[in-house]
Parts: sequence; structure tokens; C-alpha cells
Amino acid sequence: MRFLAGRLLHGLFLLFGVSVLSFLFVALAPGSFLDEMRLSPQISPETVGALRAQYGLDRPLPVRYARWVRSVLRGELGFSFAYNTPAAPLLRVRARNTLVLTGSATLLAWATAIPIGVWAAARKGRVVDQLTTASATALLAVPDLLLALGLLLLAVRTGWFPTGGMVSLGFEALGFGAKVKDAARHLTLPVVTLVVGTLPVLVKHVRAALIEVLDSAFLRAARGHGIPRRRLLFRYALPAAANPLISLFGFSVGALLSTSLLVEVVMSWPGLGPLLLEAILARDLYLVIGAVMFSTVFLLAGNLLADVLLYANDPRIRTGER
Amino acid sequence: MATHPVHFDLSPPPLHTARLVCSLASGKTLFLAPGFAEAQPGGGCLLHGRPPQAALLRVRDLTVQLATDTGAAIPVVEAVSFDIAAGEAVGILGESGCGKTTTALALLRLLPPGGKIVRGSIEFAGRELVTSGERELEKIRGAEISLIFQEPGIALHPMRRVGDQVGEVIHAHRGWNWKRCREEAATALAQVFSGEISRISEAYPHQLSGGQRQRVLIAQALACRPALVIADEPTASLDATTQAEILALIKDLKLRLGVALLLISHNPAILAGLADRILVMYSGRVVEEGPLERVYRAPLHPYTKGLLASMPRGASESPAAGKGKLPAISGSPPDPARLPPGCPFEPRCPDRLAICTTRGPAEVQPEAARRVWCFKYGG
Ligand SMILES: Nc1ncnc2c1ncn2[C@@H]1O[C@H](COP(=O)(O)OP(=O)(O)OP(=O)(O)O)[C@@H](O)[C@H]1O
Ligand code: SF4
Ligand SMILES: [Mg+2]
Repeated sequence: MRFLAGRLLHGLFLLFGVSVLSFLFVALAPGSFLDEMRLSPQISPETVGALRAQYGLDRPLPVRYARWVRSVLRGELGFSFAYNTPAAPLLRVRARNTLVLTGSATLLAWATAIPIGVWAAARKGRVVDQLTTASATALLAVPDLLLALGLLLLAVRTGWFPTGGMVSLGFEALGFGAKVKDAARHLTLPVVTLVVGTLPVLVKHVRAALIEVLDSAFLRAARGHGIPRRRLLFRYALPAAANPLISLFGFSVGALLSTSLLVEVVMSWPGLGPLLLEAILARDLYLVIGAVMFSTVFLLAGNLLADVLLYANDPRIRTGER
Repeated sequence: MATHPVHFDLSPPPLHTARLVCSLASGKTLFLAPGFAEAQPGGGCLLHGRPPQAALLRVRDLTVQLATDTGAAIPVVEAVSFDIAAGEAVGILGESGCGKTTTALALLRLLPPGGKIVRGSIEFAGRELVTSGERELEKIRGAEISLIFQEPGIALHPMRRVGDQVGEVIHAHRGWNWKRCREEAATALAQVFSGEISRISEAYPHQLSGGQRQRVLIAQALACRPALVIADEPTASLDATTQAEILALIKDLKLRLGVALLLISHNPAILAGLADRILVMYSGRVVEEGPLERVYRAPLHPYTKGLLASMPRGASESPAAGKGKLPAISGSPPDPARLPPGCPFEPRCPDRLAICTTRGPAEVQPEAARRVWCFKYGG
């Protein structure tokens, strides 16, 4: 338990650091939301000045940070200039959509990578294994963006899948089953892009970790006890190979998240990605900071989940050894 | 610790308990009053006046190659033949690198990648293992023949409770539900531990001592009541006290369960109280075979003589012992990839003859139940 509490504290500390840094970067970046207003002849400099004062942009940075922290504690997460509302409700909806996308992509990617990697490792050196490794390497060379555009093109040409958005028009009127089906159809393209982009790395790591373990003495011993092959692979080898893979899982959440933000923009998935882009272009600074904070929380949650899994998997960590 | 079980004891194994074992064809055991009958090596039974039954394990001309990292084949075991009867304890004795482990692994078809049996036959209870498929072998491994590996420290899964690991062996062969397998695992552990079974069961390997882990391995090997247990250096990595305890345990289990044993060691003292018969191996070949008592009292092969002469009398092996040079034999074993053309022991042999460099010696039977491969006795 000490281990997990430590990790949690570490996460909170990191969150604080990220908030300070993103605040600094955004505040120090040239330009502000009010620049465009200033250029507009219809708006008087006095109005702009009043707005500046109202948003607190004329105050020194530490004061603005303190005000922002207070608004975070109130659950508002600052204020969106462009939408003229507290940032929190905007961010929450978008964050939920990003979570749906990243979460299902992570799950699917790992659920596919594990059996393929184990299967290839068990046939190390044979044709199927070489074929798997070769196609993983080839797939690895394809940039994510190209993959997204390619799939998008395919969807446009064939019409098999919707090319954007999260639900169809008239979604609310659908029954539950139809709703699930509609959402799944919209989810397919971005999820497939993310999964195909991540899969090669994961398969390679699963395979390598398994091969290392398959060589070990306790597996030879288990084979000597007549443990059937399938059980040997999944109940003996996989847990033993899991530690580095669990750490990789933590990283993969981060990697998938950043790719996900990009894919969201390309495939117009209403997640944090498009919102962040829009907010950056508009210099809507609290919205930018909020989106960054949400992404950080996801990242940390992924790593924390990895720590929990590590803790659950390895008794040596639980008993405080190593 | 009162007595040391690995002293140089040439008398028959002490049958101290009130129960004596009579091995039956089925492998079941019968408990008799002391003095009524002796457990007979070879499975014959004085009480029933039965002749020794057909061998449980019959190895003929077993020849094994391993592969180097570059894929070149190296001959590691050459034309090894021997029998093990039900309930019999056979020892394999030889210096490090002479092919003991490889022989043991070959018996269960567990050779490392690149290794293969190039010739010979392994017949176990009427079945030929050399040509058996992986499925058949899975059924035999752990259930009918089990193996206690050389390295107890790493032969257990580091992340699973030892009770589960014993349970897995039972689960693999009995097809019972998991709960029943765990209960049976506790029974198996109770055979090798006194008290505190639940604590041991729930422990992970890293929470146990070397001796406790070795006991778990023994419980695993015995869990499905195999007819033959192969123990490869079962005490090599343990300290002297623990080593004595484990040897006493193996001796006790042999008497109680009537299981056949193939014991592998580089230390003659380890085999002394345990084996009925020994095979002395050198350079992948059997060079001498016979009843342990007679071989130890009057070794024939110059290599056996050297091995026994260098045995520390009454002393136990330290983890490092036996890995070094043998004081009574100068030099070291030949590289299996570059064997001398004649008798492989010739470069180190104090008794070598002119003929020894020309070809390898053939089998000679100098007396009943003994075999030796040396030109001194014909060959
Ligand atoms: N995996 C392997 N690949 C290639 N050669 C091997 C391999 N394992 C063992 N050998 C070689 O085969 C020979 C026999 O090894 P083996 O392990 O059977 O000897 P051993 O009698 O059990 O020795 P020890 O007392 O050290 O356990 C040695 O020369 C060794 O170097
Ligand atoms: S055959 Fe010759 S060299 Fe070999 S052990 Fe006998 S005497 Fe020595
Ligand atoms: Mg060995």
C-alpha cells in the first residue's frame, strides 16, 4: 500500500508542476485573446481594457495563477473567453469523448497484441513468426497521420463507415441497441487508426518479453512437470513477462493519447484534440491549460493503473522486495 | 543434527522404521514388520520369491547431440545403456560436464533447442519415448516420470504461490477442479514439510529458504505419484546441514513410497546412502556400472578409482566442491567437440596401455551384474 500511496503523491506533485509550467508557457506566449478585438474598429480600446481587467489579464502572473487555482477548486477550471462560460463543462464533455476513444483503443490494442505476441514467441524463428515480425516492422514505418488519411479515404470511397463525428444526426431518437451500434460505427475508424498505429510496437515488445521468459529455468521445469503448452504460455510465461509490459502499458496510454488528439482533429472526433487546437489558435488560454491538465490527468491515470497492475502482478513488489 | 547421512556407509540403507517396503508390480507399497522382508533392489521381493520384474525404464544406446551457439553439433552423450527397475534407486556419478544433466533431460525429451537424440531407445513402462509425440510426453512428464531440476533457486515460478505451483502439476494430470487440486497439493506438501503447511502453501518462492524450496520441488515431483523420479544434483546448492536434511528426506521417501529413483551427482558421498546401483559417466559415456556397494568397495575403472579416492570421507560437499579439480586425477575432461580418438579417459589415465589410443574400449563383464569399459579388463 505504501508503494501505491507514494505513486499517488508523486502523481499529484506532477500535476502541480504541469499546471505551473503550462500556465507559464501560455502566459508568456506572444499574443492574447484580446488582440483581435483590439484590431477591430467597432470595439473601443476602453472596452478592451475593461475586459482585460475583468479577466484579470492585467494582474501579475502569480496572482492569476492563484485565481486559477481557486477556480479549479470551485470546479470551474478557469474561464473560456471564446465561449464566455466557465471552462469546466466544455472540457468535461470533450475529455469524456477522448477517454472513450483512447480507452477503447488502448484496450483493443493490448487485447490484440498479447495473443499475437505470445503466439509469435511460441513459434520463434518459424515462418509465421518471421512473417509477424516483418509485417510489424513494415507497419511501424507508416506515419500515424498517413494511416489516418488512408483510412479516411477508404471510408469515403466505400461508405462503410462514417468519416467524422461521434454520433449520427437523430441519435437521441434511437433505441438503446441502435445507439450502441451507431456509436460503435463512428468509433471504428479512429480506433482502428490508433490500434494499427500502436500494434506493431506492442507486438514486438510482447514477443521479446515472452521469448526471454520462455528460455528460463522455471519454464523448463514446468514443462518437465507436464504442464500443457497453452497453460505454460498464458499462466506461467505471460505473468513472468508482464512487468516490462505493464510499464509499457503506462507509456502506451500516453502515446495513444497524443496520437488520439491528432486523430481526433483529422477525423473530427469531438474530443480534447480539436478543442485544444481551436483554443490555441484563439489564445483562449484557460481552455488550453484545462485541456493540457485533462490530458495530464489521463496520462497519470494510465501510469497509476500500470502501477496498480504491477503491484497486483508481482508479489515481490507487494512484499517490498527488490 | 545427530548423524550425518552422507558418511561413507557401505552397509545397506538403514531401515530404521517399523515399516518395510515390498515393491509390487503396480508400484503400490505394502508395509511389513521389521525383519520380515527387505526391500529388494530390482523390484524382486523376497517374501513372494518373485524374480526381478522387467525394467521400468530401459535405455539403450542413447546418443545425444547438443548445438553450440553457432549451430555446430557437439556429441554430449554417447551410446548410454542402462535399466531401472520399479522401486530401484540408480545413481549417475561423474565430474561436471560429463553429460549427466543432458542424459536426464533426454530421458524426458526436454533437451534445449538444437539438442537432439541421434540414436537409441528409451523405453518406459513398455512405451518408446524417443518417438513419442509432445502430447504423450506431456502426460508422462510429472505424472509417471518427474524431474527435480538442478537449480532449486530458479526452478519455481517467481510470482506464484508455491501451493499453486504444486496444484498446477496435479491440475495438469488429474483434471480435477482447482480447489481439489489445491487440497491435494497441501497433502503433497505435508509429505515433505512438518507442520505449517498453510503458511508454506501461501508463500512465494522468494519467501522460502533454499532447503524449503527444494522440499517444494520434491513435493511437486511426487504430487502425482510417479513411478520414477529423476533428481539432478538435488543438494548441490544447499549448505551442509540442509543438504543432510534433504538427503534424509529423499531416503525416507524412497522407503515409504517405493518410487524408483535416478539420482545424479558429482559427489560419490551423496549417492552412498541412497543408490542401489551406480553408473559412472565420463565424457558422455558410461565407463562403469554395478551395485554401489561393490563398485565403491572395489572400483575397476581407473576413473572410478580416481573419483572415489578424491572423495572427502564423511565430509559433505560445499557448494563449490566437485566443480574444481579432482586431486586424485590430474587434468580435466576433454572438450566434447574434440575427443581423443581412443578411450576418452586416456589423456588422464594413470594405467593407460598402448591400445588405449587406437580405439574406444568395449563393454566387459568382469563379474556378475557389473560392467566396465576399459582395456585393462579386456575390452
Ligand atoms: N545448452 C547447451 N548447449 C550446448 N552445450 C551444452 C549445453 N548444455 C550443456 N552443454 C555441454 O554439454 C556437456 C554436458 O553437459 P551437462 O550439463 O549434461 O553435464 P553435467 O554432467 O550435468 O555437468 P554439471 O555437473 O556441471 O551439471 C558439457 O560439455 C556442456 O558444456
Ligand atoms: S581404456 Fe586405457 S586409457 Fe581408458 S581407462 Fe582403461 S586403461 Fe585407461
Ligand atoms: Mg548437470
